[in-house]
Amino acid sequence: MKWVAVGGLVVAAGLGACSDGPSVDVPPRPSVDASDATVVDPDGGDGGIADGATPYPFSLPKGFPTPSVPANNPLTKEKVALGRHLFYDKRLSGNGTLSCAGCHEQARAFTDGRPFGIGSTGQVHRRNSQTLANVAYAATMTWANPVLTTLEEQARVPMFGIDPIVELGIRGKEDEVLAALRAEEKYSTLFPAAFPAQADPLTLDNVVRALASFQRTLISGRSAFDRYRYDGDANALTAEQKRGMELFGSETLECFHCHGGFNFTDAVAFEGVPVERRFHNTGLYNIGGAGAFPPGNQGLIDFTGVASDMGKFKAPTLRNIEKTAPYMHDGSIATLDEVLDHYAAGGRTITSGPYAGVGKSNPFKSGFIVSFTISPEDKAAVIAFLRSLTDEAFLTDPSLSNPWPQ
Amino acid sequence: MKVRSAFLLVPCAALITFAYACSDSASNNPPPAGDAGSKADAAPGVDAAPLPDSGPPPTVGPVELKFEARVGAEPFACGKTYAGIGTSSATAAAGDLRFFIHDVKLLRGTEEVPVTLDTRAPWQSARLALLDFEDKTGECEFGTSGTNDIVKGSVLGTGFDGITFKIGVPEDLNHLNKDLQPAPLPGSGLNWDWTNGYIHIAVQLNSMKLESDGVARVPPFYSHVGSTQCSGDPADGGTPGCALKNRPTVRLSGFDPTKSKIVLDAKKLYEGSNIDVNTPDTIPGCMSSPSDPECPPIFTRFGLDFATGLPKGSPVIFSVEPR
Repeated sequence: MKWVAVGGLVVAAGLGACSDGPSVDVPPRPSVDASDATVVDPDGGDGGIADGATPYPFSLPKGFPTPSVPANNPLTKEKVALGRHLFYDKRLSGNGTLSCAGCHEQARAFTDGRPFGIGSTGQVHRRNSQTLANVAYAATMTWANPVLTTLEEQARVPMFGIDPIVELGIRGKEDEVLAALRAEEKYSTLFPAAFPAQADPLTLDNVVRALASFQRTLISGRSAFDRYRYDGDANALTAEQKRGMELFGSETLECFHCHGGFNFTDAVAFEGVPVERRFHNTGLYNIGGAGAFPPGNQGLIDFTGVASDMGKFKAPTLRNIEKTAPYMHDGSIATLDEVLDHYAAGGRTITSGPYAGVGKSNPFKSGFIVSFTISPEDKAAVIAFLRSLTDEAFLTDPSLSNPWPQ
Repeated sequence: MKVRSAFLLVPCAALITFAYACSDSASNNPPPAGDAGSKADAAPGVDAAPLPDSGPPPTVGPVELKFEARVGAEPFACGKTYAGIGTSSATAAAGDLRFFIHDVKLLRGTEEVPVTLDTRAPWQSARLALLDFEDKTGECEFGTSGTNDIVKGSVLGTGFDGITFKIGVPEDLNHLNKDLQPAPLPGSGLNWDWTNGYIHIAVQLNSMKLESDGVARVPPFYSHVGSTQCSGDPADGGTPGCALKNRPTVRLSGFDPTKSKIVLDAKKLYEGSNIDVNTPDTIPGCMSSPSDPECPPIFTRFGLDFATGLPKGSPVIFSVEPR
């Protein structure tokens, strides 16, 4: 067998090296054009802003950098408008029962108030629905996936995924979903307006592009904190909130290491700043004392297989955190008060049941999760500060709301 | 013909050590004048210089590789149910059966001759072919209506007695921008978006057993093999790659493309599995998770080492039969 394998290598090397023609075995990397003839769209997208489309002007809050936008999906007003309609459209699911907004409600900063998302067929997700506020700046998408770095890539997961659950449930029902969208009169103008260079623009690839475009406009930066910090309004925060802000930024609480910067998370990327993949174990579990998290929901290790990635998840933004309960990747902490208890203890202790263990002693825990003593007054101050990150204008912005007749 | 092939291999084999010597070597052995016609017919990379005492030079001809999917003795077909599946002898309905293949070579003794795949949308590109035995009827809910049981290409010579190919999407094609890809990737329905890649092979039988409530069926026993533990995203300039590649290598003797077919028997895949039950808190069946207890017996029968993701023997589910 070994000898045969070597023989095969000889043939391969011979063909590749001795010929002027294309190699059969060793295709050039990374392009697909050399040996695959049919590349439909050489620009990898809609090829730039076509005639008739209008560039979308980001109106960014002070202190916010410019989000990265993939070159193959430039942001236009028309794509944003289409994406908004699709985001709120239940026809974008295999059985017509669930839209993106079903798990991402504007009033809850685009979360759903439940511990776990629920898919179109009723299956319960193992993860908590994340806020989409400022998702344009997310370095990586979902809770613990190092390879999803664009909203385009991410959109396909709820659309087509069946693992761990069916979310929108479009896999296997692509034709039915497209037919349902085609039957909507509004889309007969929205799709051509968004993709004016395409003869038949009502495609799932364009659905992906439009959803990503709309989500890039979900910018939240008009909270009381922002008015205080960036607009020079010294009275935008109460005295208690200011004290909470100091505590938040202290080396005692260590919050800012993972929840720092303009978006209160270290997992950001934007124009000119390369993606840094950051995931942390915060000592939520320590099953059996060896660091284990509950089976089937162990964080980055589920993806990488690296033992030290056990229990590592992305630090979510704290913007609008008041509105996004329950907390953590599995929605296992109901209130901000209890979240602070968890961090003050340096990890959560579960005394009984299958998940029993002392999270504080989790061997894979981040070094920034240190225990601290906090008075009830200081705890209240930190929570008051966190509430200053609520952006009411974002939660009620008509341009981000459901555009369909109610 | 064997003599001729051996001759061709010798100078190229030397190249493994002396990488730049090949073109020199070739130019030192120019084909005789007047051989332009046969050279044009030769496969890429094969010098068509005739040898003394050999017959007419081999030519490149079309080849069709016929596949068949079965469950035991019966054809795999959506809408059908099969008895005697797995360790519980379950009755199960057809759910899915699709796979990609690449790196196809026909064997002649120990010689391996690459098959150049036709570009045949929606089933084939020059690098990759999709075999698809489900038609989206019955319980084949995640599939596509089209089916394909044949791979078309061309190959130099005749007289083959075996075949080898790899299952799955090659790594350099597996994680590219999904908008860009030529057939057979788009529309395959095998996109595995959480890895930015594709499922290499999907086999699914749905047990008819009911849950303890007596109403709902037990979940389908998915067998989705794809590369896992991936890193690097081309969207941010990274080079994608997966630690567990999970691409089986099929190697079958006794295969003559003009007389034989390649049979995949889904029943054999489940010989070590109980498809009536699934470990709680794990994916129904096996979706290649390294921590899924349903995976090891499935991976063994796919010819994969579960721990390393490397090929380990030809998958027992594949065999050769007369056409």
